[in-house]
Amino acid sequence: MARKIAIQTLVIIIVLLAAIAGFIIWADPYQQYRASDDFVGNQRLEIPGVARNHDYNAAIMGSSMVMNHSPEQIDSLFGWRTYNFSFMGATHDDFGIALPFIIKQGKVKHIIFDIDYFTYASKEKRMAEYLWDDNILNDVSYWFNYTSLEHAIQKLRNPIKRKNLYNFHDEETEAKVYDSYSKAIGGEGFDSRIYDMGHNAMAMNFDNTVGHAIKASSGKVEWLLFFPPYSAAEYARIEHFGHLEDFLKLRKHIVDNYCTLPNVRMFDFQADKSIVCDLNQYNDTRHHSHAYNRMTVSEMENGGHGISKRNIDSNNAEIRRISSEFIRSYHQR
Amino acid sequence: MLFNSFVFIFLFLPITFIAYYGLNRLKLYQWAKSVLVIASLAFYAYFNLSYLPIMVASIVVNYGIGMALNRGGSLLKLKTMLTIGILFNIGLLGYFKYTDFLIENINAAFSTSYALKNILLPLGISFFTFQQLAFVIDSYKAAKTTVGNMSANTPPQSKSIPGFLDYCNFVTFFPQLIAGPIVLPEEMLPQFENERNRHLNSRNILDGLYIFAMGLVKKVLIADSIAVFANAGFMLAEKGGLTMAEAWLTSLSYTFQLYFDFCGYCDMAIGIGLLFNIKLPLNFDVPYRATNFQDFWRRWHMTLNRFLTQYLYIPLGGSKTGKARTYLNILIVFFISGLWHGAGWTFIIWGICHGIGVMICRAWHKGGCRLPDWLGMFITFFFINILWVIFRADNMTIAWNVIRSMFDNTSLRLTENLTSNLPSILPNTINMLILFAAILLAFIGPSAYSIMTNEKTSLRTKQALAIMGITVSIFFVSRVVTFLYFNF
Repeated sequence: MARKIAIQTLVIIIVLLAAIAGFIIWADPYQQYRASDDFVGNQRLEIPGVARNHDYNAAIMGSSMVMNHSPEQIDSLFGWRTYNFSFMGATHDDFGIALPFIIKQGKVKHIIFDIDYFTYASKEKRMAEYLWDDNILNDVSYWFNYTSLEHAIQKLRNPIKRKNLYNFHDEETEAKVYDSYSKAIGGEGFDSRIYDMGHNAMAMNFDNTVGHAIKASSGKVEWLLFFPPYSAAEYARIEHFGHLEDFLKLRKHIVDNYCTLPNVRMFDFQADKSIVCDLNQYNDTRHHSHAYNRMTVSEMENGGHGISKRNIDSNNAEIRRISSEFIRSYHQR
Repeated sequence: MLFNSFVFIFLFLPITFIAYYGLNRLKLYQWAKSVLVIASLAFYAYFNLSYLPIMVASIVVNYGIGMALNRGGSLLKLKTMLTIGILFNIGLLGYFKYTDFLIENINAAFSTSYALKNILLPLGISFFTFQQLAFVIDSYKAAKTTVGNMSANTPPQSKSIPGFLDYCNFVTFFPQLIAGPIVLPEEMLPQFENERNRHLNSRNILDGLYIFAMGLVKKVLIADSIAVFANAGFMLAEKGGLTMAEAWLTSLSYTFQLYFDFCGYCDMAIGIGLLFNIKLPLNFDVPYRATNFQDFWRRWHMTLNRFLTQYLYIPLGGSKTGKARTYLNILIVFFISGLWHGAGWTFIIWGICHGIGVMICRAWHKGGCRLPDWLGMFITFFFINILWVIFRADNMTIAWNVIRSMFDNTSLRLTENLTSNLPSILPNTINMLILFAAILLAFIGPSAYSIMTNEKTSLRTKQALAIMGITVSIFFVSRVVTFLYFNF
């Protein structure tokens, strides 16, 4: 009797586990095995499968600063087939894993990439690495996973279509920017357990991840790097916590070391007062309107707002001025 | 390698199981034992290869001392071998675990600035060192008895030393290698030598699967889920910002996280042991139902308590050397227990507080005083919960911040600081319900072990619980979180 029940137990467990794995493989919520028009809307989990199984030749990548960029808009301007592979709350660890994987697929020829200082200061690791490789053995972490199961059910019942993917929209107003700034400076600043705001650390993190991918893909991938337009309030926030010079040194480091590479074009929207001081285009100190999304890609297509060793110092000086003016006007309000 | 990892569940365990019984079926018994040793060494090396030589050296030296003791000789020789054995084991543990702690304290006390050595602590060293210490001491006692018998002209008792493979399995047997239970030679060696244990035993397999499943549920579903509140709370406490409700949520979460984490690990260890027909000792017996501190230590980490009683408290004189000395012995035992858990003042203070708790309890009982069980249980749990805060905190400032907030009734609500952005795959409400269920289970539910050993439990019940436990908890295995007791 005990023998029969023991064997039965083992068999039932094996059959149930096989059924669970079979269901996930069939539903394939993260498109690890085949392309689908149905998405679940989780960038870190979904992008590796999409990168492997979809057809594209360009990508817009970076942090939440480019999350709302419409690939169709880029396609209409550049004539590419673009996918948005950005990460909310991106860290350099994300790019250290994602960039080599995406480039290795051999599909991407152009990458539009935003350089967000936060990404290189953050020490957090959030990637489910088993999805970002070709090792079939570790897919077991995909099959037996509560989040996979939830997403499999979501994909079957309530999938997101590509045009609605990562398309978050919020109202932009000057009041929201001031409110966001007030809260930020009233807080404790950058938590040193999560962020290393030193310019050397940020530069090293950039070099080891994005910088390495740029150099390794020379001759294969064209990179359009750009400094995204934060609002003036963001500079004031960084300055308030004593890191403005770190931020500016990171910018200079990147421009000095990468702008002359043959596969790189570089743009700067951070030193244009007419952009960053129009606070009605923002919904917090950093994130801007769709109008600015259109503007930035149009400018890149036209070759406007270029940055090089020639103008990095003057642009950095302008950012200092913008920051000081914002702080002054904030206190006068 | 963790028990709650796919590589262990789907690869390591099945391969070891098939290889072990396959070789036994072919009557290659020594090979089967060797496979178990190799698998255990691989299991250990998987964490960090550099740990392996330390453990192997420790095994070889201790076995050598055991052999020397077994050969007999004069009492002086035996005492010398015993001293070498004790010094070697304490020295090994001391070097790897306490060197930096010692340097830190010397620097603090004498304003010196000796550089820390940053020595990597080999996993499980506290456990395998204690087990081998027990082996050396037991070998000495056996050899001393033989010498005594010979001088009294009685025939010598022939207690031969175990074979090297059996000894290796006693130390390295992978279910208990990293975090116990702390086993003794007398309970393990006969099991490795027993020929009946070489064959598949369906009942053990069913029991093993059942209790492994229950351990997995305790670890991945309960402990790891409620850990989010404890982790967030202690992080917030670094800045002092906890409300009273948050402080209680933090302390209770940790109290039950630690219990379900360690108890879950031990259940899994017992289950895996049973798959190989090896019965590991019980390590937890519903400890939060203890009615006093003495009772608590008879139920919590029972094998550590057994070791300290047998190899420290009794040799110190136990309770046979007068009242004052008995209390001092208790304090010494709990000081060592605290220090064993970690090289830090928080652990030492925690240990001493428990020692004081046991002393008070002993005096109370000696004075003929009694409390109703429910009141004793409440008071004991209340203090144990507070002492876990000291045990968990990185320093006494953080511990004090949590404890102070637990009794500061100016704010009773949970703020967003504690409840937002928790790194959890389950919503807060579910985690909270799991905490509630954990409390109920710890206080009134039957223990997994008692269900297993209860003659009245049907095989079908165990089967159903094993199947449910494994298929539910498998969804949470991918959030791999190390067992808390691996740190000690």
